[in-house]
Amino acid sequence: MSAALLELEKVDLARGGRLLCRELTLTVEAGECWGVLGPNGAGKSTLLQTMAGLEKPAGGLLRYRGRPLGQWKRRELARELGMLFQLDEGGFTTTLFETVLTGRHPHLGTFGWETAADLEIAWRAVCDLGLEALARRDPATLSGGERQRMEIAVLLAQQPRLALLDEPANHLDPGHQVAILELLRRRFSRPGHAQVMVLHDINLALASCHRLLLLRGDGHWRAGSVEEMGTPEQLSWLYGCPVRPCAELEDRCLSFL
Amino acid sequence: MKNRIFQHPVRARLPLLGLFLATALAALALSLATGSVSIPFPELWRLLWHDDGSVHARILHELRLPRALSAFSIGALLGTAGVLMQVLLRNPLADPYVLGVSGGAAAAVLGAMLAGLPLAWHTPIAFAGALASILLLFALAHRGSWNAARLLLTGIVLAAGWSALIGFILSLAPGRQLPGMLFWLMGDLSDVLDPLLPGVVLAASLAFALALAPALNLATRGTLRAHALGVEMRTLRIRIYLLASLLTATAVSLAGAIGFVGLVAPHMVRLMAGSDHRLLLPATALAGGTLLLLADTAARTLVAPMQLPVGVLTALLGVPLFLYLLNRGRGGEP
Repeated sequence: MSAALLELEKVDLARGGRLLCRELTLTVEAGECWGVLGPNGAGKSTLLQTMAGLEKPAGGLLRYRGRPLGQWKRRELARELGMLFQLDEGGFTTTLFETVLTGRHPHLGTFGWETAADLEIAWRAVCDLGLEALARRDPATLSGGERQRMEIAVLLAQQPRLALLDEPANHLDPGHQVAILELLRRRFSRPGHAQVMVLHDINLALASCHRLLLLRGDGHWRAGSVEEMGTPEQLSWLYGCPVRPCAELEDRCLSFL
Repeated sequence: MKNRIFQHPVRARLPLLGLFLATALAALALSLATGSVSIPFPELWRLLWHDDGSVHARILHELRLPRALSAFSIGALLGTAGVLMQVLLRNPLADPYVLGVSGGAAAAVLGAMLAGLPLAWHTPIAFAGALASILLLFALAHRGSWNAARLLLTGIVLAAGWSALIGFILSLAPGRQLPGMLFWLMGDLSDVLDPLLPGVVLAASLAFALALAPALNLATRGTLRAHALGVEMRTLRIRIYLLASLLTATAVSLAGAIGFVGLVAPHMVRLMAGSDHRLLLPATALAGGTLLLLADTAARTLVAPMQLPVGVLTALLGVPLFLYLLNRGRGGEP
């Protein structure tokens, strides 16, 4: 059974007065994993933030589970929809575990103290990302990759239905890239769940996504299954430079000429 | 490691509040006992509950107790205001005094003094001054996103602007009014005798701030992240504006521009108790109160029978700390 989670209807994206994407129409259904590819500045992050309701589109309408995004209360929406950000903002001195615990915020009441169940969920997220040994460390002292894993742990603790991930593989070594994308795939391919991720590594996108959205940044876009979109022709169209398959590693691996 | 799951990391640190409370009580006892006449502790304890009409009892009940309590609650107001401003600006260097909020309130109150407005008007006028100063700070420093350096610079320039305005008002003031105005300006607790107003404002704002505490925790991680985790940042910001202005204004209108308590107290507490606002807020209120109480005790005893303006002492303590935080690198770029 497929159910529409997020629907985009003729959405225009603009940044600094420049139209990045014209009349984008697509539906993210439960069980799907979308990859968003495109050159720098094509509006990939803008798209994710618009999908999360953090930014208003320049035109068009977004619906989450049938209801226009603007009609959702922030808190309600935060129980449904989680976002991994690319920006790196430090905060005040704290610990990794307490940071992961902030993921439980949409589930708390006023004067809310996390219950034993909340602590358990947050701790499981810490373990899933292999961060147990760093639980008491100040995030400011972590490496880029460790901080990225912490952010993913926050997202897992939030337990959203739809995950919007801005470069989840960023800062990660190849081993962690594969392991964490696999973890996310397991988590968000469960019934009723879905994920949309911005990726820069075409091979990772081909290996882990069902559907691809190609954003060129000049208003044009193409969307479809990974089989239709992951071809050298489509990707050459997207990046404006030739892409060819790497024969030695089957034809699911692509490289730039 | 396993049992960490079952113990709440913040709740585990709550007993620290007891430590802060005990320190506050010890400071209170010290402040009540010392002065031109020292009252031994056993007698102090007895006189506290039995006003026997003696000179010691009158000193205690009419002078020291009200002064100590108002010093404590004003320090607590300033500490809490500091925490809130630091969340608002996401910068541990934010302090109502450094960023010109106290200056705005002080200029407004001095203007009111010059115009001969009654004392009861001082707090609302200070509130308007503080609010105007915060709004001005945001309007001038926000350019699409926050830049810590820009914000600090804007705040410091605003503070300089307010002090120019204050100088202007002082030069217009009649000579008779001038010494009082100057002393008040440097932060002076010798006139504040009724701790009721600061106490009530403190209790109400602290309760309100505690209700916001989980959202404040998220707000320190940045607007977008807080937004994505369900915090309505617009509403939260407006609430923090109003609350921080009210706290600063109450303190300034009663005791003048006392600086750096809002910087020193939260910093000390963060070192010991972490940055979770459910603990940070009450602990900072206690620490800020204790700090100002001790500073005021020192101000009235160090060069007795002369009294120092307490703001001079807090600044002597706060300036080195501010410079240290700025130079540590993390303060400027939070």
